[in-house]
Amino acid sequence: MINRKQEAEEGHPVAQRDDEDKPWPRYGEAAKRGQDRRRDWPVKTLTGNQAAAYAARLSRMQVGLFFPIGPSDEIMETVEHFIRRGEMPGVEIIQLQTEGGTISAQVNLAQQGIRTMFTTSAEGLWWGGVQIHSGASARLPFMVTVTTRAPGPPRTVANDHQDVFSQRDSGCLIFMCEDGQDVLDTIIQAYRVMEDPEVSLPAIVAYDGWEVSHSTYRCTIPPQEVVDRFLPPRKLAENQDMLARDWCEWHQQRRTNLGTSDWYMENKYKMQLAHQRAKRVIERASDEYKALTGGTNGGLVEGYRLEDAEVVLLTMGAACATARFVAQIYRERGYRVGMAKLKTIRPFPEDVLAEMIGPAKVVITMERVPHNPIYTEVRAALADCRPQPIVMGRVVGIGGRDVSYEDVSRIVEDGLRAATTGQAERKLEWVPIIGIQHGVLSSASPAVSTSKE
Amino acid sequence: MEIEGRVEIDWQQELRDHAIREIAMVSLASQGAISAGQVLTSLAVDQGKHVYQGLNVRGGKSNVPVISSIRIADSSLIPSCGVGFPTEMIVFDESLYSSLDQEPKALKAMRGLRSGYLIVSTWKQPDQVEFPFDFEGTVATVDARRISFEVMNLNPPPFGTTLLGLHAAATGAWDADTLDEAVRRRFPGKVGEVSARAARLAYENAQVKEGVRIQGTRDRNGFGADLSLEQAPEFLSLEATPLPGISNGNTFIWRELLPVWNRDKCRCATQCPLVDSCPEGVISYRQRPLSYSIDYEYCKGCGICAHECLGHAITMRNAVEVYGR
Repeated sequence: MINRKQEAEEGHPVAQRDDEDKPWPRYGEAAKRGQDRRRDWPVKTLTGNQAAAYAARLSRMQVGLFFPIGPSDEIMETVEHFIRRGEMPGVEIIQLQTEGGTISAQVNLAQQGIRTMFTTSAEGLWWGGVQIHSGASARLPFMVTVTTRAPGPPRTVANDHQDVFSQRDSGCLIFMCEDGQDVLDTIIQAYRVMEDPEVSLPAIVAYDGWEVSHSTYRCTIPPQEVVDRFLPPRKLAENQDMLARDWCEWHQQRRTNLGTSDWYMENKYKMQLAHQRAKRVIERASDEYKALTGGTNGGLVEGYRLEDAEVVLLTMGAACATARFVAQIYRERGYRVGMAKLKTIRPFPEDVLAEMIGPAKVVITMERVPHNPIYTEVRAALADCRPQPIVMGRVVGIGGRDVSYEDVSRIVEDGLRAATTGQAERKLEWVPIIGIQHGVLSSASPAVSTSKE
Repeated sequence: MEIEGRVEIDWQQELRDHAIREIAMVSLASQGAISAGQVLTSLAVDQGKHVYQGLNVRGGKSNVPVISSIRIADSSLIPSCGVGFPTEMIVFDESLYSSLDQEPKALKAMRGLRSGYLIVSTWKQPDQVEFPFDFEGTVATVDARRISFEVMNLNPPPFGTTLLGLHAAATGAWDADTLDEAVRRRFPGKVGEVSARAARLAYENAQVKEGVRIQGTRDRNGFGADLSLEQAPEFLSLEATPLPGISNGNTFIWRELLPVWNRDKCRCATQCPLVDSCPEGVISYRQRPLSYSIDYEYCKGCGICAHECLGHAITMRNAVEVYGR
């Protein structure tokens, strides 16, 4: 777990928030007194993209940036409507020649202390990848909203998570969202987290293209004053305000936001420390947000019926809803099945996972990336748990393939069988594969024979 | 926790036990299924329900069926995959069954519909309706396509919201006035007026029959073979109220701003580059004597001219103030 005292001893002092001990009005307490504040809040049917636009409005985003692509267009389209209706005064939308140029502009805006959002998908994210990496190394907080999409060929615009996972090690914080309400809550929280002086990193908020972005959900919209209380305007620290500095003296820092390359390694080390600190900041922001709005989304990992669970489904994005439903159905039949939703990919919450799902007998990761990074990372995260859980990886929903409840129930049954016998038949598998004999993907399986007959 | 073989789960029963209602819409792209689904889910949210509306997008193909999966539930525990056991299916055209083999999600949804409501846009009587799989339940028909065509004067018309009128008449989930209000909320302005009127006509002219038994036929070429508009009987003689702006190729319905030319700033010597940059071709220009005209009837207000003009001679101003609409 993150130890603030230990961090302070290592010579990296952690800024104290002066309002840390101030009690927040709890939603539960208000409800007990018969004052359900959420009762009067507007409930709307919004698509995931519209929810993102509402979140941008509530977060008082100052500049929106986009380049036309795929499922993400609707966000800035909706923001444009808000601007035309006069609901976002002073907000501008910028579109430049490519995604690379647009993120370049965003990096510079972030350096001036302006709150921005860039929306893109798949290929657009790769075009802007250069600037995302450099912006992360410069420790500038800017937000990239990614509606995920699979790359071709075969030509497709359908959904999987390959694009956002290609930015996994870019240095950004990466959040995954499940539905419209989750998108709204996560964006507001992500602004708070990434602008925290303890973190100061860019954030990618990703949700499934089409499957969340164009699906309609019931969303409760918190009032502006509640969000204002949670998310103060972005303020530049004195040492970050490059325009106020002497040009000659601070030339290097003004160009790159950091010093010379002599301290490159130290800068990167500090970045990793910021990632570690971000975990606590995320949890604290999530607690505050939940207390203020009565929402349920936030944090690093959200568990569903994890108490005494023997088989745990770990997944993220749109598939969570189906996994939760299937887990509930198996629970009702007496099988101890739970479900965990991974909210953040970076920072990867190893310690929280070990605590929450480590006691299970079998952990099954369900991910929409062909090279199964979550399977690998969860195996590593649970390696020190005793008794060690069996970790099984299932790749689902590649290229927009439906993750149906039948498929998830088949996955759960594989896990239940492994929990009974104590060993997994197939550790790594794709579900469903139609018309091809299942091969053996995991080298750890004893069925592999490399010698020739 | 012993497990032997497979755990038998009756998904249809589970969905019913968890108070999850599944609705499927089979349509082609751009027929208005998504908007109709948004209206339907907003009606359910007004009743305090939790909703999910997902869709299936096949990139680069326009002629495959799109299936829109809608779930309405009492709790927030709603699966987010394609529907497997719908109790209501809204079919935009019977001929869509013919291409169902291209679309696994649509096939799955149709196979799952054993009973409930089959809501079809056709001029046929409810007991004449075809379906690829065996079905027993309530069938409702109205020629929603033709109503929308006559009311909107558009061909092909978007008739998703019109079918919602038929859906309301068949299921009785809400009355026509509630639907009317929801449609107007989704489409403010003239589009909402016309769509709401078409939905009401579908509600009033719906033909609903309970206890219809349909023998499933999987003949790929058979569906909708006798369904051309010419063969259809004279259905309704509606007074056509063309939508100003999208009939006749005019495109001003979605514009908010209009370009205004400022003579003093116009300074290109020989020719105006904006004539070529206008995507609608509504700008014409003559050097001597200097004259400039923009056809406000067809201008869609994109603002490319204002962006491109070297002398900033074009400013975008509120369309209603400039031209009255």
